[in-house]
Amino acid sequence: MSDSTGKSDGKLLDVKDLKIYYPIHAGVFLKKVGDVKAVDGVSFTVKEGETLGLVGESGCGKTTVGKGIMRLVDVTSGTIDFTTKAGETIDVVPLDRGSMRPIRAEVQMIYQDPFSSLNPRWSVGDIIAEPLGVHMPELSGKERDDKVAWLLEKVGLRGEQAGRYPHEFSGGQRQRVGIARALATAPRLVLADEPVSALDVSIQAQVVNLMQDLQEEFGLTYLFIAHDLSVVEHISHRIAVMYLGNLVEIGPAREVYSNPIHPYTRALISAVPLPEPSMGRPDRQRLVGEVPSPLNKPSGCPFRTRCPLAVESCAGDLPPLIEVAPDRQVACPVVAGDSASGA
Amino acid sequence: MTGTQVGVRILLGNPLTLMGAAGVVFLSVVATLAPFLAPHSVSVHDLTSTLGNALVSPSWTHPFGTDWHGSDIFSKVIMGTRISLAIGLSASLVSMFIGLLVGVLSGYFGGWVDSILMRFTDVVLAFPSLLLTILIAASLGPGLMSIFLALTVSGWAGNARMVRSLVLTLREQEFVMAAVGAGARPGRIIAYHILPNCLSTLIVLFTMRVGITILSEASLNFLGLGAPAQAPSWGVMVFYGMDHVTRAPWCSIWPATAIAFTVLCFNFLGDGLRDALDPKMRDVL
Repeated sequence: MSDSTGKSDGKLLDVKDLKIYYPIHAGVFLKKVGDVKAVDGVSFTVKEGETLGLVGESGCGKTTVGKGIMRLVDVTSGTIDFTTKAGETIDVVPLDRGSMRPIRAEVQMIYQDPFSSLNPRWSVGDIIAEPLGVHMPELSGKERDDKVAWLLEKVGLRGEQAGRYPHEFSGGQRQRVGIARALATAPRLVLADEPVSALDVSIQAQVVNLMQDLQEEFGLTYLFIAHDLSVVEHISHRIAVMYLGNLVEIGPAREVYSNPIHPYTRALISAVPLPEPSMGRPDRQRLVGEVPSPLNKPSGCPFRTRCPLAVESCAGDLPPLIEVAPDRQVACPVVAGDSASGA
Repeated sequence: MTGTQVGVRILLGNPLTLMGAAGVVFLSVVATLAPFLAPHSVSVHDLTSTLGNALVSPSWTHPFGTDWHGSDIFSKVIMGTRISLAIGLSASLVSMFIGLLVGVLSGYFGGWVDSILMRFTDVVLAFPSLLLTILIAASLGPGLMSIFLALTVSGWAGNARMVRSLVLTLREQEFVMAAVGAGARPGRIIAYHILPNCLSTLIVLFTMRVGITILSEASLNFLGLGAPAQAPSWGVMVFYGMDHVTRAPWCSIWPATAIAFTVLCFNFLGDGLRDALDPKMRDVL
């Protein structure tokens, strides 16, 4: 799945210099005392029909990027251009709730926790029908029920299970319900926020395969957010790696995986468990130290405090993403030069 | 079987719930028909004819005995159902409603709405409720209306705090995020996602409040801030009966039993309602 889809180069989503800061208030008058820089200048594009895997360790801001695109959190600055079905390109950042609503039909999210993402007091039929009620209020009750049953069957459940409640389902089945809800309004872009990280490994594969089947059937575009590289490699066409609020590397999945360039990506990929550990891994890299706090980020390259290759100049400016190969960018001047010259 | 049918079955299948429901119905009937059920008059004007009967122990004519005025305690307990239920239910309902409104607005919208509402709530909570009550009674004059207002004003703030903390946790749940992501309006999210998930806590809170309110009504009456000393209020009866508790324990025991019975009935009914409204409990059947 990691080769190019051969679809048009049409950008469905174009995120430029996205910043999402959470202000910290303290004291009696709730004075602002600082910012948690959850997302600190992230730019990437998602092409129509592809899956972009967004990876990084916990707390690096990858989920916040997804929530920012969904406008579930306030965006501090930057633009998020989304191309609608009608062919218009709209920046969703300045939109208010009302003008955001039609966009929401086209951008849907699959949430991380299948236990908290379904209202325990609603039947799964009502849960799946919720976006329909918002975006297609003209549907009759019968039409809505039919659509819910159809969606349930599309995600591998049975239509007559619509009357059941979430607690009657297993984690994997609940996540299927979450997927059905995300697909209810026939979206073009689906943001999957760690959709399988809460599931057993055996179930993970089923859900990932289901997502791939649905992508083929409906021509979906995925932004697949995860911390598990092996899952991401399986489903993604391209991978973007995040560290502490910044992108450090982006490129085709197979290449990033087989030939990581950024020192952080290298360490991340060398940490993926091997199916045959006894075979050993010659280039195992262990990172030392802790991830710095996003409240007090290091100057320059955010990774320099743990980077084995750090030099003095890394403390200067934030390194930009440098194109080292077609469709391949790395935010590290130290290694980018080597790669570009063919090392 | 529909959800409603299962709910009804849970409600009727549990003997304690059934007892609670029957008790609440019984109390309501007694309150409605009180003047016809009471065998003796409890009017203060009849004192002269009954004073000779003061502190008579229970007998066939006075099943619960008489108090130090010679009034029939059985009749007073029956008549007292009216005051206790009226105050207990109305003050609990209204303070519940205000607390719900403030708590939901505060918890859901946060920011300056939360700051303003919670600081106001803090002021009410920090103010001694007795002082607040005396102020209200002093400005309105003693009476049941003052008691109702005093209990409502001092009761809502705690409810608001409780509801707010509930809403704060619910708001962070992913299903609320999913509803926002689907484009649902805040009013819809509150009505269909937040409130149903507050329900079980609200029911328990309400049944507890009914009990607390009936007891507070008693203590306020005792301070002379509510109904006059001879009024057939269970609280008044318990407190004035305490003066004679060694000689005539029945003066306090019967109204106290009535309070305990009422509070228990509401608690049992509340527990049953909570289970009947919870989809998870439907499997147990």
